Amino acid sequence: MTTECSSTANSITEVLLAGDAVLNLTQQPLNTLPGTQFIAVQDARLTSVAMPAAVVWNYSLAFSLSSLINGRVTRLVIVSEENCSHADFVVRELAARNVPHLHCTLLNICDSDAFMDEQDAEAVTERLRQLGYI
Amino acid sequence: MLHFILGIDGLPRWMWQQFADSGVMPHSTKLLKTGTLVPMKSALPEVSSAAWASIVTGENSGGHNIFGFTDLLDGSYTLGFTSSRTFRAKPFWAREGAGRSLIMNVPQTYPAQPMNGMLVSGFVALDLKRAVHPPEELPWLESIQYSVDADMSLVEKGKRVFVDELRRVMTARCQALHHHWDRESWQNMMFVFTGTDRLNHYLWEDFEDTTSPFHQTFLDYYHEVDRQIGAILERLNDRTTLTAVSDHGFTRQRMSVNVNCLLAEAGFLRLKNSARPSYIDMLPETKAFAMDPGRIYLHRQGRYPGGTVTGEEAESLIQTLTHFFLDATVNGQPLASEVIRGKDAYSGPFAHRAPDLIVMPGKDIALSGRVNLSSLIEPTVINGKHTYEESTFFVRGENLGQIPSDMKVENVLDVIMPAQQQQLQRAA
Repeated sequence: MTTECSSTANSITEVLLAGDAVLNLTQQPLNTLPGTQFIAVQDARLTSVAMPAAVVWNYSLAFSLSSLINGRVTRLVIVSEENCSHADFVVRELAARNVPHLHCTLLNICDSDAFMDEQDAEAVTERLRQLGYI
Repeated sequence: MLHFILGIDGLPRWMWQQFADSGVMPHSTKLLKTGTLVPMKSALPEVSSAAWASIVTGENSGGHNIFGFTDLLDGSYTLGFTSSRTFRAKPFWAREGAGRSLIMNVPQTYPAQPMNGMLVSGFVALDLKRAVHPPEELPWLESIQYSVDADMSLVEKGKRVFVDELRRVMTARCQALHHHWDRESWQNMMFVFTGTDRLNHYLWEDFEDTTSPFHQTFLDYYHEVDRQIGAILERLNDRTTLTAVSDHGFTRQRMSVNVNCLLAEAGFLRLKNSARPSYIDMLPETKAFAMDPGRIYLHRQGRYPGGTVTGEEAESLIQTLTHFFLDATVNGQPLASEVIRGKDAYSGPFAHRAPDLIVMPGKDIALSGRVNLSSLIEPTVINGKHTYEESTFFVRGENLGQIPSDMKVENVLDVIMPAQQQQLQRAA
């Protein structure tokens, strides 16, 4: 089963499950649901917090990756830009330590979630109706 | 060129073989002797958007996030239309090292996304301007009156007018294919005929009825598709892996049944009174609802704003609904041939967004997920419907992966690009 996917900052909620903690390696704010856990850096180690947070990665943080999985956090969702070497490193580390994880690459599309206006939506509806879908 | 993938939307494997054997498709007669043709299973449910997404990504819907043409936005009752921007797995042409690709008329690729090469989106493309990458290719396509879709409303003017429109659209698309093919040495090409699906939807009864005045019209269209296939084959050499696929099979449709009507009649779905009913009109006492074509979702607490079905309730409700659909009849005919649990059908990061159940329609029946509950049996001129079984997979080439005995749309890349797929699996 794949442990990779892509999404947008606005649609990231599509991938999140109960028990997920988000390790946001981008500096973009992410749309999340109430109760989402984030990974933050505190006292030079990674820890899960209930507030939105982003992480500026450095390799000395790697030692604390395994300790993030606990009763409350059952999977790490690493969110990064495309071709992010830090994310690749984190994913390799997690895989080596058998830590459940999902790597989600943010699509770099500025208007990704709102390209269809009302007129477009009606046109699509009509096409789908003609083929009996809706 | 390494790969040419030819899509023939809605072409059943058995029909291609039959037309090749009978001389309706003479180029296919020769082609099919040079490779392996097997039946393939479509996506669940057997809808083009999900199936093409599986073919080009190698994932099932749980991996690429396309479950149908419509979906509700997470945590809301807002109906959204799936598109290239709903894709959450990379199509083969967007993968690292894929090389330059020419991708034309692949459904679910609208709006066109930046990629290494050229792409013209397929169904449900609305506006050619947003269907072309790179945009500088647009003026030439406009100059040949390239259409992103055939005008299906022309069926009201008669079947012959409608088929003429399908032929006009196909001719322009093929002209565009060869024009852009000539312009550089592509690593990968993919081109999809979609008129075949439209023809099958509207003229299937004429195909089956050999006395129909449009029976020959149906065959002539496939003959023309075959002529275009011949023009493509002429240009391919032995070093190119050639794949021909369809996204689903086809069969006769005699009745379109509104699944939400059935759910409402049985008390599983309750809507507020509304002139234009939509999902937002669902009352909290709603237990389940349907989306196109046979996707059944429990009205779960936490997933939908007014959802009331708890985790504890869900299992027994799934069993109740399974029996309900398997026992249901419409005009004396069984509604469902099978009811599949979503959690058994999907895997991947988006599997939790899957429907709880997929109802596979019974013989002659197509399912719809309209929220307008005015009629259980919906009037329609459509007389052909998709099938899960018997889509088409043909391949000829070298260095192929093994064709699974239970070939499915998500296995296409495993067979034709085994090295790439294995690399991805190792990375995962």
